[in-house]
Amino acid sequence: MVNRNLSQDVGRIIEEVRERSLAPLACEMAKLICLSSTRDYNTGRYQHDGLDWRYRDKDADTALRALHTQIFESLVVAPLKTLVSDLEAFFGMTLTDQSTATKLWKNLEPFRIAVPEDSDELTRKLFYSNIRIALAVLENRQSKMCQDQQSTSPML
Amino acid sequence: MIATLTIAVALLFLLVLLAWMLWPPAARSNNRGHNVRIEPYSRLIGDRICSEEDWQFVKLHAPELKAEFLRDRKDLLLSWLRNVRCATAESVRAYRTAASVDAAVNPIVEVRIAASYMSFLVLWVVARCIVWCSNPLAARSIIVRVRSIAEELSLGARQTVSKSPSMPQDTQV
Repeated sequence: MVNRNLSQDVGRIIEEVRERSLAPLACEMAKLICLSSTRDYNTGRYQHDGLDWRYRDKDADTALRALHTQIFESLVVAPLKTLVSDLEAFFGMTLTDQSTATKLWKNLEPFRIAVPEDSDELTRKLFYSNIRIALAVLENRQSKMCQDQQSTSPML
Repeated sequence: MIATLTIAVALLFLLVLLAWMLWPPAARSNNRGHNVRIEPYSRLIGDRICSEEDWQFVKLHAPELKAEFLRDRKDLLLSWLRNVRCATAESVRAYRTAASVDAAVNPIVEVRIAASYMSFLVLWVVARCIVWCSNPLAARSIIVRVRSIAEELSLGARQTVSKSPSMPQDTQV
């Protein structure tokens, strides 16, 4: 009975987080970053203020962990084309210059902390590789756009 | 006649040697770092690593990254192959354990599983050589074959384990 209630609560939390917190986010990368930011990096536990006072800590942790893994795994097996578009949309949401964001992501690799704890090494490596390629593609696009703008602008 | 017999014995010896080399020791099969079940997600990962679509995308949008892409994919595919081999060896080990305590196991099934495992090992070595010497995209068709045999073995082992009365039902194969 306790287990049934526990899984019902976890299911309810997953639905709630999906509908209220994740649905407004336009891209999967934003969802991944959002979910990974609910994790305490010292303890590995997931916490969400809106959930903690209504549900048991353990249920909120299980639900957020499961969601995080789901989103991560769907991003890992997404085609590169989709990943590039997703990353572009994510940088578009951040209100910073896209080329600055791309350069920062390339140098600091903040995407490494967005990986769920229980993911296996191969999945992580594929994710890192895909993100690196996607960032390089975005950088290429941005430099081409810059060149095009320079070539079309009138000579002073 | 003697020459043919010698060649046959040598080939048999080589096959046995190959099987012995590739059969992981019992200590390694207890390694919890590997995923011992051939899961659908592992199939998706394999497909993504060998994806022609991604390769075409890189060729079109970032041709200067072609070498890096292939190098990454090569490492990833070699890791994937290692994982599949570990999972399959674990499946066969679980099958052997279940079969050794179950007197009702059909000998034809036994032979079929042994033959499948042998062909898996041979194909696995060939696939690894192709990936190592060439590129992961060239090995796509053989990778599909390796994966389907691994899945068949995993399924066969799971069925035998689930039928075996003395094996715990939650044994991962």
